[in-house]
Amino acid sequence: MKRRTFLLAGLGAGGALFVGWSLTPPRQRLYPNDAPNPGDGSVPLNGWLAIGTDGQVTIMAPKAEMGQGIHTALAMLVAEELDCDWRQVRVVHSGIDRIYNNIAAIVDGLPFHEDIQGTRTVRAVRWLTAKSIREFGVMMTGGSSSVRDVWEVARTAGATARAQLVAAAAARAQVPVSQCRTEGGVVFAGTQQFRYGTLVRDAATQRVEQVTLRAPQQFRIIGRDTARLDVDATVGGLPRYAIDVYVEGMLSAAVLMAPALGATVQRFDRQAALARPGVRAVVELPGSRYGDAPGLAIIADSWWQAKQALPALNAQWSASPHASLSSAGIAEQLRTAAASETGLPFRSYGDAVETLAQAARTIDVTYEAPYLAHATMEPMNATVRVNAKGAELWTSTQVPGFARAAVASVLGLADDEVTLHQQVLGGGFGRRLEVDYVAQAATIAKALPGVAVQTIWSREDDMRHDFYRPAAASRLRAGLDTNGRVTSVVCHSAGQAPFKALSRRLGIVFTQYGPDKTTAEGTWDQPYEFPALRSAHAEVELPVPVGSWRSVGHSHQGFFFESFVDELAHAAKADPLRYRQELLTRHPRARAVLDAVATESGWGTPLPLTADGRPQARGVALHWSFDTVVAMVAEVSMRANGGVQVHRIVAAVDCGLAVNPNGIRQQVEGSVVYGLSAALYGEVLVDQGQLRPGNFHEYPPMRMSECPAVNTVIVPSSRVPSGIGEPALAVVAPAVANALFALTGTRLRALPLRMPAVGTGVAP
Amino acid sequence: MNQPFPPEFLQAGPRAGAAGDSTVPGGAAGGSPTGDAVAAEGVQLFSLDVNGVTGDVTLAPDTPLLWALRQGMGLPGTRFGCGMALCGACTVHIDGQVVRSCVTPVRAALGKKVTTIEGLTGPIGDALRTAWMALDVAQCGYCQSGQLMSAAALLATTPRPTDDEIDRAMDGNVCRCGTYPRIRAAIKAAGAQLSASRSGA
Repeated sequence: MKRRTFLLAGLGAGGALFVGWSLTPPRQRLYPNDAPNPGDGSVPLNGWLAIGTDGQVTIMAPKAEMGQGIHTALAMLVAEELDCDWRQVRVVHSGIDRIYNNIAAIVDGLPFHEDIQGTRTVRAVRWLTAKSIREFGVMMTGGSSSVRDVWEVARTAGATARAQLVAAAAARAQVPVSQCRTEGGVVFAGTQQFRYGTLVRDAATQRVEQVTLRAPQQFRIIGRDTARLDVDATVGGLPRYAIDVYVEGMLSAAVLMAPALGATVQRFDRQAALARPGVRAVVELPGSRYGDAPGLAIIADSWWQAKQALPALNAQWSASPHASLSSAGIAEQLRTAAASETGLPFRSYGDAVETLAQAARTIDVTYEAPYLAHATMEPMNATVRVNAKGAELWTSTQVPGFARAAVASVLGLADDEVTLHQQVLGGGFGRRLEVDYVAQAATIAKALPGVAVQTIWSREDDMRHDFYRPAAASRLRAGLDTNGRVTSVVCHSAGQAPFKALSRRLGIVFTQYGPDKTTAEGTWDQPYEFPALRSAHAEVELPVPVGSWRSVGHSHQGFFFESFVDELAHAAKADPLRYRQELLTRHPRARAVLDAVATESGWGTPLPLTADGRPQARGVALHWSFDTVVAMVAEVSMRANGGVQVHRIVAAVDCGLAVNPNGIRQQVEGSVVYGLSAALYGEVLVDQGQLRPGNFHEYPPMRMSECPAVNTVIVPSSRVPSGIGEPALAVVAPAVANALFALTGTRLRALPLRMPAVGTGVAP
Repeated sequence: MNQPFPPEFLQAGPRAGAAGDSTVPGGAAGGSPTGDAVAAEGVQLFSLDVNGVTGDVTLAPDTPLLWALRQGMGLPGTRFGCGMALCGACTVHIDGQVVRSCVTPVRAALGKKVTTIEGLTGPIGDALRTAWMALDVAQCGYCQSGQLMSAAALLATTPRPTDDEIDRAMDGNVCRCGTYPRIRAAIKAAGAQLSASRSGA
């Protein structure tokens, strides 16, 4: 028996089928099961684009537009190969199909360090994972994965459609394809010209085997600063968000959710609420596996009437089983877990613990971060109408398949009996990876079959019923030799596991068990060349709901780790930027980003006093996440009242080949503001089992007057594009904290950053 | 009136309420446009001048202007963000003054001229929109109606605002996507363009 046959026999029939399947190439991502219908008579040429007889190109986007500009970037990729007229391009959300499953987020989320990505084993695991996700994965916008995920397929879709149009023109002009060329939505075939719109019906019947994609030096659209396609709708205030949806005969619902974790409604006055003006129904909310809290809802003619009627319910709640839970107790629990040695190691080399024990000197510090809310500008909302044959859902979501499934689950329908009308997101940041608000809206609409009911959360609902960025603590230790050089780094963090929690709610089986990479990312995956490293995380179970908050684990681990690296630089009496450069001798990509930020920020040159005579200082941070490297320099001063003022942020990024540099700069600016809100003010407190913040006065966001200038340098790269929506966030807090240390000599090891003493600070 | 956007978004019309119900707003089934006629279930008929068009809307008298616009008059460009005048997403003008419509009772708008994003026209609106598009300000865009309304009120009184003046005028408008640096630049660009066109006229 040959060895391979023997192996197959040993695996049994199922194993043989699996091995056989795993050797075949992945299935195509161009053609969905059902032909897309853009709804305007356009002819679809594949699952990514359709062309109207007037030449209008409609691009079907499986990625949710939430401000990150993916619809524009995706259109650029398609248009690059399609050679259409950019002014005739529009983008709509696609339907749900397996060809749109997000492969990149999962493959790039595999827990392999950058240094071993090229090995044969890792390449094989990535290949097989990609193939599996194509079949069994999900449509998802998140993980800073969108451009990479569509990089090949969107261009292939454009190129294939173009080849079909050329073939149709060649047939019509009776010239060989080699005598045809395309430009601006026109095929030039021999001496004749055909606009795409006049060819599209013929083109749809043409079969094209292989297409060759353009090389980067041939790009005409990719790499150019491109304005967003949706900007005119925004400045006109046109309806486009889920909250703007209006369906004939629609009613509105407001909700009253458990005020404390685990509390349930014991008594309420239904009749008093029904007697209120405009009220049509009172609905009891049991809560669901998707994480929506139990409570009550009122359906009324208008949202204001529903909201105003909530007090009439006079709801009485059971005591919270977590009534003793508070932020101070949670912090203590996390510190204790971080101080223990029980965590799961994510990376370990060089006998880090042993080396630490033998070090001439050690540093042993603990960092902490609080829970954070997403606080998207558009509060959670969804509109559902239960019909005789199924249901319709109007909402905005980062996970359309799960949103549809949540409605189906609540209503006892099959997934395909629910029609989703995806809307533009008024902010996502990971909050709309959850479908709690969708399941709840379906529960409410079920009370009035045939009527569309729009459920809208108040800001207080939104803040108190989030899936928070986990609070975390991290004990960081380093061994130093007699010269202050680092010999070993040991990180041991503790906190809840957000992706595992999300997986349980959504029913994603394969990520419910085992290590949750998002807990420890930002430590073990960094490019620094320490002689020895051990990075472990202890998962802590707590009843506070946690989820994916823009950059997820990197959001706090980036602060912990990059502040700690700054401490190491200080211990070595080295310039913090120079110190990092010397730890990157075998990582030229990260080194180049660091060099770029040094040049652009004028690192090492004196900073002038502020206009009112206060000293400023710089801090630097570097971080690798979502396969992108970001370095950031913050210039800060202390206000007379003890507040922190950030004057300027300089960022350098290598996110692979830059598809839309304008969009990249937008995302860096956005990450800076979102990151500064968290670094300077962000804190969700837990008090006797209740999530405390109610509105923006209790969870302050950054405002215009506090916003620094942001200067972004894009390091040229020919790598496949990588993430940009999140990576710049992780470096914001440490860059500011490191600058504050340079300014005042005070090392802040907890977020948000609060200086203990009032003063303008004097450099030590 | 100059209408660069589809007219259906500039006109008051029925929005909330179930079809056939006596409380359907805009149904004009009776009552005078004075705000005094009490209809069924504690709602009243109000007549509002919004974007130069007078429209009737039937709603509870304590309804904030925000919800009268969004659900009563079919003008969803004014957006709900906080309900406490903390975020500015709901910013509109009443007789040219900035108000947060989420805490402004609809009564406060009676007999006055309300301007929303859908009706932001004229040289200032045009200059702001041009600058917003040229500098590609918006990300998710949800807060941008309010940002534009605050910026328009600023430029109406302060054609060439300083950074401090921009801070004061815009600090009530929150953007979570982080468009502040571009908003600042766009306000300056719009102000410069307005001044140039005035001096050239």
